[in-house]
Amino acid sequence: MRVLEVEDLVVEFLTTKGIFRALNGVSFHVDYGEILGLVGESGTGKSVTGKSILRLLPKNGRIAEGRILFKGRNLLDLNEDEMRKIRGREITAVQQDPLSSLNPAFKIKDQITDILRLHRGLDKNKAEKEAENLLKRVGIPQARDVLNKYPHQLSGGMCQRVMIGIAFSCSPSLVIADEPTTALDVITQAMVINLMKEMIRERKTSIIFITHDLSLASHICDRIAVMYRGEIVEMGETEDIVMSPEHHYTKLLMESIPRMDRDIKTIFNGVKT
Amino acid sequence: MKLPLLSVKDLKKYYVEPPSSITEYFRREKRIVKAVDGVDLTVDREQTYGLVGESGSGKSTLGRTVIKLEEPTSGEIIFSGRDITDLNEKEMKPIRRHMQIVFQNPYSSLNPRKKIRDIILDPLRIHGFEVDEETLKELLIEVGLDPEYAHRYPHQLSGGERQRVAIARAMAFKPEFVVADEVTSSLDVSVQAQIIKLLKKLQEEFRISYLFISHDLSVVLSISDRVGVMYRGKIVEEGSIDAISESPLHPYTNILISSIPSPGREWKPIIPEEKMHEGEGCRFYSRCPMAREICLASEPELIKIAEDHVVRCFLYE
Ligand SMILES: Nc1ncnc2c1ncn2[C@@H]1O[C@H](COP(=O)(O)OP(=O)(O)OP(=O)(O)O)[C@@H](O)[C@H]1O
Ligand SMILES: Nc1ncnc2c1ncn2[C@@H]1O[C@H](COP(=O)(O)OP(=O)(O)OP(=O)(O)O)[C@@H](O)[C@H]1O
Ligand SMILES: [Mg+2]
Ligand SMILES: [Mg+2]
Repeated sequence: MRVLEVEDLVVEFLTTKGIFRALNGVSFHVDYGEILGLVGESGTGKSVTGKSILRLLPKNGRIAEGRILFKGRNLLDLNEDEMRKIRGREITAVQQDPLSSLNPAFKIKDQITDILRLHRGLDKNKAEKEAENLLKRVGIPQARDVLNKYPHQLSGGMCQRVMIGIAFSCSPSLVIADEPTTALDVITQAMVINLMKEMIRERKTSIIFITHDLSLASHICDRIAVMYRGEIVEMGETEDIVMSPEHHYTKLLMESIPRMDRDIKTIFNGVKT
Repeated sequence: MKLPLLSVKDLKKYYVEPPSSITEYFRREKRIVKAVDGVDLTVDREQTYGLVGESGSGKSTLGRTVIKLEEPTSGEIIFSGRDITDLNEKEMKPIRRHMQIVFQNPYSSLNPRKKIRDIILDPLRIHGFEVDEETLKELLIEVGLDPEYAHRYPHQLSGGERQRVAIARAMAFKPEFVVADEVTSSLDVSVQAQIIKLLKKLQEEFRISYLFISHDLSVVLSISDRVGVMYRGKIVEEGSIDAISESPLHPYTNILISSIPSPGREWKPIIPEEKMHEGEGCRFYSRCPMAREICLASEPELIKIAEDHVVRCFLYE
């Protein structure tokens, strides 16, 4: 069963140099309860794909062609009001730059509880309890202190985890997670990914996991789509992509990992067990 | 002996928490976050000091404090032979251009209403430099951006492209010292490698020293001369790149290393308990697989293991 189908998506931006085609006919689908990895190098169109689904493209951009079917409905046919009901409730997002998506003027507590009260109808006390709970699940043990802070008082990784908590707080059907763990160390990253997997198991949430890290994607995604310059150049089961990459760009991506890996291996020799 | 460019002694940066409830407010209890809790560190000229540690361990706070974007709670900061700990903003101004920072959040640190061109040039103008178009163009090309991007706004760039703008802005000053806070974490491996190469090249050309902050040990190892591992406000292990990569000692360093995901190897990171150890003793106690009774008695001091290797752990007493 498919929660999302993207068909022949073309996105264009107006720039000083004329029209720039950021997406050139992108098609893919996401099943219920699945993690689809969207990987590719910087500037290749991963974030633009995510923003198009949410219909949050910058003003100089437009979706020129294509369809985005969410549970069978074409999102591009909806008016802004209808779209707002879906955004933040049925489809949520973890933006690539978490600090910019939190409101600097409000405490973390207010930002999370507002959403919980609005979308889940919890009363104030319950919402605060739940907010604390959420933060603990994303690996913030001193959750109560963090709730009382303003965004600029959090570390980069904490902001990112708060955003992840918020994105998963209302049991959405689809989460678009744009580089959600880039600011996290390996251990914290693992906690966050465990949370994601739990949500998938419990609530059949689907995730589009945007990342530049093919190695990480290979550990958590069911399927992977490799993007290159505005197009999906290869897509398939994770194992097939990793074990026998077809496209030369995917091969390149795979080859660039062992380079880091070698460094790691030299470290490993020193690890005591 | 050559004097280090930056030397920091027993540096502390505490934040006072706002009261979390009415009772707390009336009791006037103050809770304190010890973001940086007594750090010693030296960065030698034309060298890179890599700082790793988990999210929230105080890396960015340390980075901001050593260049006095934040007032230290206590401790001492010597930059280029001069004690800058108590200098005020006016006295800092002539020194500022020698110490730059690339912030962790490339987007929120770039003014959304300014074009890339002005984001890079305005800080220079404030310090009285004029830069011609040709130099700007070269700078953009140097960091791997199309010079046409000079006319774009930050939201018109991808995450990795913004990161490169932030690097260009810092490098425009040809500074002596740069705090690079998670500069490669939003970049794919190929661009990551490119940026690291670029940082190294700039280091040679302009004789820059870096405090290179990252949560990613493999990246830190690929650029640094010395590495410090930070855990909850303190350095728990420090050493030359060889010492840390060939014989990591602190249990925390070892956990960090064994949790790095790599393809074709099962990924089994050790997930910590919810409760963290507070009070007397080693701050890593509750998460340490090797914890013993002695670890609760007092906080371990840094122990010298080799000429270029120290560790804060009772295992090595
Ligand atoms: N508003 C805009 N106007 C013009 N070009 C844009 C705009 N937004 C994005 N682009 C361009 O579209 C391309 C794709 O950008 P996108 O943000 O999707 O990249 P990405 O794959 O997410 O990269 P990264 O890993 O660096 O975040 C980039 O070349 C970018 O410069
Ligand atoms: N302005 C502030 N006011 C209050 N607390 C703060 C402030 N800045 C940082 N902190 C707290 O200090 C601690 C360390 O934060 P810091 O940003 O230095 O961590 P970090 O190691 O850079 O983490 P990350 O890898 O997630 O970026 C955190 O608990 C954070 O909430
Ligand atoms: Mg992006
Ligand atoms: Mg930080």
